Amino acid sequence: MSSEPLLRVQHLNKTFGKAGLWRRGPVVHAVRDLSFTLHAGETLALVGESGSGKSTVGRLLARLQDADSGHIDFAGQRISGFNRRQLRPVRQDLQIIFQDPFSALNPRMRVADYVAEPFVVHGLHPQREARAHHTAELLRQVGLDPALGNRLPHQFSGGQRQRLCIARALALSPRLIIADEPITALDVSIQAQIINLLQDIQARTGVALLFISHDLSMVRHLSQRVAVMNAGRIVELASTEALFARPRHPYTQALLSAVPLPDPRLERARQRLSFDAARHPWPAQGALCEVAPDHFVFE
Amino acid sequence: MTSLLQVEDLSVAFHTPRGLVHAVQGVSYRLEAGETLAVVGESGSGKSVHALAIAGLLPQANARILGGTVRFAGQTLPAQQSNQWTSIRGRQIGFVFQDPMTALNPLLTIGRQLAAPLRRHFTLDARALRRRCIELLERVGIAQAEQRLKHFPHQFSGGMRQRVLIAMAIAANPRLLIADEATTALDVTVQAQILDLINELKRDLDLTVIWISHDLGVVARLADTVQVMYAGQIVERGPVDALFHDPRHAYTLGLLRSVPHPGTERLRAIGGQPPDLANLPAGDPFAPRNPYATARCFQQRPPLLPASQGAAGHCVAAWYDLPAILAAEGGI
Repeated sequence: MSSEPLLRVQHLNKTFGKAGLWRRGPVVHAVRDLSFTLHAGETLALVGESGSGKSTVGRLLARLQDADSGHIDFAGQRISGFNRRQLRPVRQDLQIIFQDPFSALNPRMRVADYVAEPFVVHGLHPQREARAHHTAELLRQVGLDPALGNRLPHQFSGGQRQRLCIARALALSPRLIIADEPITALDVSIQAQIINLLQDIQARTGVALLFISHDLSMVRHLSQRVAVMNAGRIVELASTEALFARPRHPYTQALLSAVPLPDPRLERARQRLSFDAARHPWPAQGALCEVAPDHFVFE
Repeated sequence: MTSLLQVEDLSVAFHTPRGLVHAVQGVSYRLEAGETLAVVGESGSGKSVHALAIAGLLPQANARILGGTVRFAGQTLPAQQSNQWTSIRGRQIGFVFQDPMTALNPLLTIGRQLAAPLRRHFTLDARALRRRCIELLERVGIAQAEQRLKHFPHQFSGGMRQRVLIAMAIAANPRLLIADEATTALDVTVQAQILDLINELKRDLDLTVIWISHDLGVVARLADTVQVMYAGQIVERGPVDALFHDPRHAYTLGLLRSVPHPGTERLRAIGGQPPDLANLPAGDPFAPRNPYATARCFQQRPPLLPASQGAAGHCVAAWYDLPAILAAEGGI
């Protein structure tokens, strides 16, 4: 792709637990020298296991946490250096959805107010009627009856709450949505509903999606490109097709072989690969190398 | 021939502020020795509650067994908490829970916790006890077992803790192991290791297993027989190949279609929401979400009957003929 990407991340680093005056804990390198790009309208998946740093990346990009070093360029602006006031207009274009729809909603707020809150924060739709109209439209877009807007969050199921979170994220017509494990807390039949909803929204609005997930079969289904993370690094980055057909990095290979397939005949015949981190030490001067067109492996 | 486990018309309800919630309704099945049964369903399907009832672990404060019997190895299990349970639970039925982070006591060493079920069921001197603990940890694949006995739970990773819980569950050589979402909280690579361990234990210890899960991939890997539950009832049950390749209930089909397969353009999600157990409609509880429901589905609850021209042991509770509908649609 030759056009300028919507999001460009360069050499991002983040550590937790710095040794200080009172603390001498171990330093956890959650994100190491991370670089990637995301184009408008594209879906990029960030996959990895717990502790791989994938959720930290989402939080750094949304500027909910500050990176130690590195650059984040979004829509032509270097937002990594922005302060709160400068970030405010950026947040209209960059929204985040979290894993747990049970704790993301304010239990005392009517859900219509929750969905409309971004309008208030950003000073859009000062007239109550226009605001109510747009809110009803958002609820319809995510498949909820606008008449339910007067209810409180506890009256909704998990899948409906995630729909509310998505409606709120859509309120300001963002150009990028970061979805951090958006279906993990939901039942299987409801997960499919939410994935279909995200696909519909993307087809209609052209919003780009950073899909952070550990569910490789959903990642394969939803995304165009996949970045596999391990120990804070991207170990492999490729088109979904290439990554699942020809995984190059031993960690990616082990991860793909560990995913159980919903077919007993295939499952019984499968060989599993294991990845022993001790036998694959990180190369000291390692970097992502292009092994095939648009297929990068950490070497 | 008697089965190892025979559940007969089991019904469990919970007292809640909203009234009586019927979590399990008239569940009946048999489990043969050496068989691995996977119980599949969504939250609220009754899959966990029915297992808690079998193991006598229902919360006493608000749960009530409304009816039914559970026979295990020819013996009728007591419906209420009683001393009788101590010779069964832990000794003959082992239980592994979902969350390895909270199931262990953070203040006691792994050795102390692992020894607890052994002390309870056997009289062993200190050396024999220690030897058995080491043996158990090695059995579940924990290296340096001797040193590990002195460690506390926080010194173990999630997968290691789940191994310890499995060691505790098999400590007294039970005949039946019940695992409730035992790998749900784990990473996929760790999950794969635990599933391998379970398969190994099944073979070596002649275990019968009830594996409760919502993950169809895990079920495909482990199960001999699959039982699909919805709104407290068994809606379909049969050999694993039949369930996955010749489903007869629309809910089973819906679950299979909800997970992506390579090449699917769009997931065929099940519409609607799971039912309210305090307020179940008449008829088939899945009918409101079922695109193939007939008028009868809304009026009369279908019984669990052998599937017509199905595999041996394949049963379904449905008024409609799903294979015929699918053939008319052009296949699964």
